[in-house]
Amino acid sequence: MMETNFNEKESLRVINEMIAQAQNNFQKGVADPSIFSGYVVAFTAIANFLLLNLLENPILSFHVWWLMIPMVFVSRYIGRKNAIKAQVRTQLERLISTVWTAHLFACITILLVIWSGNRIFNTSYLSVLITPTILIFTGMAQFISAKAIRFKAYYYGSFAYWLGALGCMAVCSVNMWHYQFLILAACSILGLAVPGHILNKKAKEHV
Amino acid sequence: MFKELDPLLHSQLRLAVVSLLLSVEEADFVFIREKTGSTAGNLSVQLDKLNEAGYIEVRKFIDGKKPRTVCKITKAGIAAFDAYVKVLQEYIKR
Repeated sequence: MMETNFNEKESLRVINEMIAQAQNNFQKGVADPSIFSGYVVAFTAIANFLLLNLLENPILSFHVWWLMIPMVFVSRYIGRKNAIKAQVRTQLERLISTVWTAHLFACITILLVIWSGNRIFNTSYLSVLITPTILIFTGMAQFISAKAIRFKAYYYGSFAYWLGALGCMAVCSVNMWHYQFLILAACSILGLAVPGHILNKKAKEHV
Repeated sequence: MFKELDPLLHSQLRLAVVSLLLSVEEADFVFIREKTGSTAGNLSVQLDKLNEAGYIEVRKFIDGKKPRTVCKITKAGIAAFDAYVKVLQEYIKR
């Protein structure tokens, strides 16, 4: 771009052109944290399902979910590392990151609410709501991300999560509640990891 | 003609840089160079001018072994761009 005298129409053209250039700039590896989280959640859910059937004391199988704590830190580390390397950072990326932070807090809160409910009413039945509720929250976060970056695969991902939430209640209705973990695993792969791979591919083509 | 327009922004490359930075949170020198299609030398000079005017913030640091320059628009830059567009609209309406 040369330094030249230009008129008002050219000024407008430059402004429009640059704003358009700034849109839809997916950085290489932008979906790495989603892909990582998707696979780790799927692995943990399958491990929980298997351990429920294998352990003498099935309650112990739920301890596999402690894996979520390092997963969150590693996922954040990957995201931060990519952000430092990125050539551009947009407000949309910050918005999406905030949505997923809110999702994390919402998940922690719902766990505390359900555990408290179980204690208050001296039951364990409320626990069957944990997986579908988390699936609903994740679908919502994914839907907002899809809207923000106009990425269809994330839309489909969010619907996979919401269908999964309904599926969780369907398996409960036939007294097969532990199949919720397989539904969670499938949703994590279909709703998070697969769209993440598609987004990374798109970002790679863009670069 | 165009006397009221901010002379700092009424330059093709500087206007392009400010428009680009307005749409992102921050951008790397390489990204700006690629998107504006300018040369590194020319871009560097124009970034210095915008930085001196307080329209953008320029952050230089070492990423691993590579030196990097990251630019971000300031509040003064946003206000200047806003004023520039308003004047531009008046010209177009004439």
